[in-house]
This record gives sequence, C-alpha cells and structure tokens, in this order.
Amino acid sequence: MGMIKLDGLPVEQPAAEPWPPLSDNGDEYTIRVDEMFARQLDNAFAGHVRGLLHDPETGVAARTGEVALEAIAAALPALDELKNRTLSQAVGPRQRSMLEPLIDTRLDRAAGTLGRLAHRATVEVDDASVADRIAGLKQDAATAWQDPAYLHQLGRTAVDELRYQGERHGWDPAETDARVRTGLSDLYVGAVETAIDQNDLDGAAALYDHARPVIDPERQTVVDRRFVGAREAALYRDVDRDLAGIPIEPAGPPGAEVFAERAAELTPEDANDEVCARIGQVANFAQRRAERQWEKQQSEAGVAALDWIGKNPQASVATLPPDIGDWLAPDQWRGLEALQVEGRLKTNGDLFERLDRQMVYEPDRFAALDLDRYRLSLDHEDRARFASAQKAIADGRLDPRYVRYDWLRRGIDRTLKTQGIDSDGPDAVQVRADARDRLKSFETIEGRVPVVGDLDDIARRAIDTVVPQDAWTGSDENIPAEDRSSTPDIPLDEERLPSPADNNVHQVSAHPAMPDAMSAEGGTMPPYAADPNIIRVAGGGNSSRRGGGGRSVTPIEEMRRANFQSTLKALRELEPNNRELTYVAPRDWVPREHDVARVQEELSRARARAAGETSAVPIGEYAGESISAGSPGRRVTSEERREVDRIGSEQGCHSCGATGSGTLLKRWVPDHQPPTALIRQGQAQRLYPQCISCSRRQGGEVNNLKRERNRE
Amino acid sequence: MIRKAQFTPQNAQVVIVDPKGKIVVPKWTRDAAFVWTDTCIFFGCRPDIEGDTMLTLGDMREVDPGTPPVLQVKLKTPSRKIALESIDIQTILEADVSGQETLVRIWANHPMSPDNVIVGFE
Repeated sequence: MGMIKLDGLPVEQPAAEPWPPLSDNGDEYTIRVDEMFARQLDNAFAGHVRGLLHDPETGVAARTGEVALEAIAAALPALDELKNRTLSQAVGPRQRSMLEPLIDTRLDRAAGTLGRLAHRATVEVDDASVADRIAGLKQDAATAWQDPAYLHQLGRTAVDELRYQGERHGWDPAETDARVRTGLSDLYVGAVETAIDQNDLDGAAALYDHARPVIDPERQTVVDRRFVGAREAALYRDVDRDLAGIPIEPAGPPGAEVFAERAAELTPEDANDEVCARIGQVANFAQRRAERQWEKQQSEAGVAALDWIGKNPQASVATLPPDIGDWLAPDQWRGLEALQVEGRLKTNGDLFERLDRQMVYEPDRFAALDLDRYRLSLDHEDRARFASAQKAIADGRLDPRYVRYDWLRRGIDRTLKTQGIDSDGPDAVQVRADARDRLKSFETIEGRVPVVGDLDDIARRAIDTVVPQDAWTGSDENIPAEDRSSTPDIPLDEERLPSPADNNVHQVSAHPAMPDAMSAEGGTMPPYAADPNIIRVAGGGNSSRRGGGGRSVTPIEEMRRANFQSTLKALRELEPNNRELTYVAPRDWVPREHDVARVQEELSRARARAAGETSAVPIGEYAGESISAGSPGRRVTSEERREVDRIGSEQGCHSCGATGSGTLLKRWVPDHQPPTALIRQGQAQRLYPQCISCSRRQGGEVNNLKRERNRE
Repeated sequence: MIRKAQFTPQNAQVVIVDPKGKIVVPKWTRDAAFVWTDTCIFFGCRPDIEGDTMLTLGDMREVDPGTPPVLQVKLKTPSRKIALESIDIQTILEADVSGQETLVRIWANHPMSPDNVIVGFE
C-alpha cells in the first residue's frame, strides 16, 4: 500500500484490515456478481428505453401526429445503438449471455409499443387531414351560402368524408351516423350564420328554413337566438339611419324631443320594453351626434369667414355668403365685425379667462375643446398660446412654458383667495394679466428662464398692483389645505424633467421635478411652497423633499434612503425587470432596515444569477431566505449550518422545492451561490438550503462546466 | 497498492475518471446513488455536513471486502491511469492501471449516503 501526498488535500490514511474474504464457493460468488451486474445493466437499459419512449417531454409517446411518426422512425436505430452500447458494458461472455436475452425481451416490448404508437399516430394524422378537409368544406359553404346546389354538393362531400373516416376507424354505424349528422349540421349552420353576419336576414331565413331538417336541435336554438339578435340590431340600425337624416339648421341643433318623437314613430308596435329602451338610447346618441355636427359647422363657418375676409378685405361682412354667415353664432359675428373695423382679430376677455382657467384647472376638458370654434374671438397670439398648451396636454408632454404659468397662476389665485379677492373678479383678471406680461418679458429682459424665485417675484409684483404691500405674504400658513393638494406636481424647468437615472424619482408617481435655483431663493418661499405634492428633487446635498405630512427626514433615514436607492440602481443595471423595481411607495416613504436588507439580498441574488447565467447553475426558483457565506473557501460554521437547516425546514430546497433534505441526518446541504468552483475573484457567495439530489445534480453540472472551461 | 484518503466531498459525491482522458460526464437522475458513462463515474457519498467519507483505491483483488460490489463498470482509461477527484477536479487518489479500458468495481457501506467507498480496478 502506498501514499500520495498532494498539497491542499487530505493526507491518506493507512490501509485498514481488508474486508472479510469471499465465501468458500468462489464460482458461485462470481456467478452471483455476473447476475447482479447483468441486472444492473438491464435496469439501466430499461431506463433509457423508458426515457426514449415515455419521457413526458421528449419521449415518443409524448408526441402526436406526424412528429410522432418521425420520432418513431428515429427511435428504431436509437434502440439498436443503445443495445450495442449496453452489451459492450458487460464483462465477459457469461455476463453478456445473461444480459442479451434480457435486453432482447425489452426490445421486443419496445417494438410492440412503437407499433401501437405508430398506429395511434397514423390515426391522428388521418383524423387531422379529415378535420382539415371538413373545415375547408365549411369555409366553402360559408362563402357560397347563396348557391343551394353547390351547398348540397358540399354537404354530400362532407358526408362521404365522414363516412369513410368511420370505416377506417371501425366505428359502429350509429356512431358514424351521429358524426355525419353533426358535420352536416355544422356545415349548414356556418352558412346560415355567415348570411346573418352579412345582414341578409331574408336570405339567411330562407336558407335556414331549407336546412332546418339537417340542423341539430340544439344548434337550432342558438341560430334562433342569433336571428332575434340580428333582427333587433337591424332595427336599431334602421332607426339610427333615419335619425341621422333629421336636418340640422344653423339656428341650433334639433332638440331631444325631435329625436324622441321620430324614434317613437319608428318603434314597432310589438316592441318590448327592452327594445324601446334601446331605441331611446339610439335617439339620445343621434341627438348628441347632431349637436356635435352643429358645433362643427359653426367652427368651420368661423374658419371659412376668416378666409373670406382675408380674400375680400374691402368687402362688407354683410356680403358674407349665406352658407357661411348663417352658421355663425353671435359671438363669432362680433369677432368678425371687430376684425373688419380694427383690421385684426381681438381676444374676447371673458372667453380668454374661461379658457385660461380651464387650461390650468381642467386640463383634460381643455384639451378636448375645438379651438376653431373661437377662431374669430381670440387674437393670433392667444390662440397660439392655447393651441400649444392644448397640444402639450394631449401629447402628455410637459411644456415648460405651460408648467411655469400653471405654477404662477395657482400661486396667484391662492394668494388672492387668502386676501378675500374674487379670483374671477376684475382685480384678479388684472393681476393675472400683469403676471403674464411680466412672465412673457422675463426671458428677454433677464436673458434666462425664470425659476421659482422669479415666479414668486412676478406674482408678488403683480399682486402688489391691486392689494396693499403689506397684504402680501409668503408664509406657508396662509395656504388652505385644500389648495395645497391642488398644486400641480410638475417640473418648471426642462433641465429637471424626471429621468429613470434619477434615484429620487423612483419614489414618486409623477413629475417630481423642481429647478435647483428654486431652493437658492433667499429666505422667502412662495405661498404655494408648502404644498405636500411638491417634491424637491434637486441634486447635491439638498435633495430632501419638503412637506410629506410635516415630518422631516432624519440624517440616518436620508442615508438609509440613499443606500436603498443605490442598491436599486445596481439591481436595475443587472436586471431591469426585477420585481423589486416595480414597487409603488408613498411619496414620503422612508425605507426601513429590513427593506434595505431585502433589496440588498435581491441584488446579491441578481449577481449570483448573473454568474449563474454563464454557469448554468443558477439560484433555484424556490429560493427564499439565504445567509452570507463569508469568504470563499471558508468552511461553513455550525451556526451557519443551523441557520441553513432552519431556512430549509421552513422554505425547502431552493432548487426543487422539496421539503425533505434526503440526507441521513435530515440536514440541509448549504449550497454556495454562485458555486465555489465557478466564482470570480472577490465575488461574494450566499448559502441556500438544498436537498441532496439537487446538490449532486448541481455538482455534476459544475464538474461538466469546469471541464469545458479547462478545455477552452 | 492500496491508497486511502479521508475526504470531505463537495456536493456529496466523488468523481472517478482517467484524469487525462477525454471525459463525458453523466447526468444525475433524482434519488440515484451513482451515475456513469464509459469515461466518468459520479458516485454519491455522505454530504459533508454529516461527516467525512473514507475513500479507498486499489487493485480489485486487494480491496475486495468480500461483499458484492454495488457497481461494476468498464471505464475507458486511455492514459492508463485512474483517479478519484472532487467536483472541482482536484485529484484525491490516483493509480496506474494496465489497460486502456479498466474494469472498476465499487463497494459502499450505505446505499445512498456511504461514508466508506472502496474503488477496485482490475
């Protein structure tokens, strides 16, 4: 006996006493061993054959139709090859002579199984071809439903096909008849339903009467219901078509009573309540449609009038063609007359205020307005301003000009309210007009875009024109709670629009941007600054948000939040679709310690998975809790083993989900992830509980990968 | 010559191969005690959390404990060597063999988690 010493490996132990000698009858023993190994090889052979034939995913039996026939053709040579390979494992002629008959028996059985599978596959292919043929005949019947002779011919062909299929299957006559009746019924029902779908109810009814004797009674019930539904739908269509013909006069859209009366005339005498109600709905819809058409006519008339004036600058508006003039509303006429007198369009103040208010406080409604309707009542500049805002809202864009004005107007309105000034009154209108002028000229005068401090200043100056100096206040206390919540949560500066890379953005649900310069304003904050919906997302050391229910964030919480966000950022780089990145949190949410620990653990898993993707030994899909494995190569401590046992008993094997470890002492294998054999230098590992079967399987995969890498 | 080693097996198994041969590793099937190809045997041992495993390698006639082996396989040994390795391909025991194909018999003291594994070659 010798010793081999290898660095880093355990030293050999002296040989123990040999195990007890063989029994006296050595020949018997050899025969017994040969029998045992012949059985062992036969078992392995049987396992391979089972896999080849019956594996739920790859076996021949799992396939159907033509794929199965191909698999059967490939299985025969594979069985031969398997037989030769297994026989080559036999040691000596006696073992071989024991093994060969065992294998041949199994091959006979396999051949029988393959024969049955081939028969089944052939039937499936045959059935599929018949099904395709019948489906084709049904399609032909649907397209040729108006040709009874051709339909009859198609029906005859379908019957022949199905009867022949019955013969091949050996079905009894009753079963064949049943299938033939069903096939023929389906063919004619398809044709009738196509006729219904094409709204030819008379043609459909005629065909249905003709084919009723061959249509299954249950299908007849379904077809009857379809006829009822189709007739009702046709009635509603007819009513709607008739109501659409009610003329629309320039004086105004027809009233609801006009549509209701006409609908009542069109309602059949025997109509039930449900049908009457539906016809009423159709009438309501038709009336709203007429209103929209009338408004559209007015809009088009306004545009047409403007064009006409442009082409006929010297002509009197009295000579406006009646097909235009008749449709103009009084406010449009006034705009048109002002245009002719002053030579330019003039904005209607009341209209402007209405639109301006809608733009800020009801943006969705504002975005749906037809601005052409006010073509003659807004000057070019105001119209362009509203059109631009409307487009930005409709596109879901954040137009900085619009956002700045939104901010400005809400602040002014709020301050005016605290002063008891009517926000729709003349003073308020003057303040807003003044503020708009100042905002418009700011960039030209200052050479830069205004930030919040500037907006505050603009608001203050505009308000000072109508209220005493000491009435202005920048104090937060003067902002009513309901107003705070209505302040828009949108960026004022295009440079600070939220981006996915901005960590702070992930905690908010919408547009949490504000320019840095806003916080640089010395001391005085705008009256709307305490709005809890406004979140400060400035960079540098002043990234905390204001508001948040009034509670300030402590430095420790700030650090924890930063830690949480940086972990999420790293996670995002590894796995952009990781579930931890899809959370929704309240705006003032501060992660707790265990939240940070959770995302850090997920990051570790993601890193391990990243390594696993290249090693093909990833963390299992049942992975839950895990613990740090410490430095690579270090033995697992008893405390760590206990912890892994605890996790295993609670959560099972991370690879297969098994609830038992499969080891003698019921202990769980602490699985290093990524596997020790595959980690990069400095790469951290974690320990997950694993059952012994998965541990061995993983070991085999690691060994294989390691050999492949060595070969490379 | 008999070689022995106390071994803490990673992933509860030992690998038996010709260390310089071209190796096709077998695939483990669930609840199997061992799997093999004609170039490589994965033999299950007691997992390291439950203790070490004693490995023995030697001529079949010397190491045969007198009980039926649990596995007999003809292994290709083109370099005329046979080795017991860990999963990360560290050699634990190694011996010369006479031919390019070697009959290997393995005895174990437990059907699924043996802590005494004897590998004999002819």
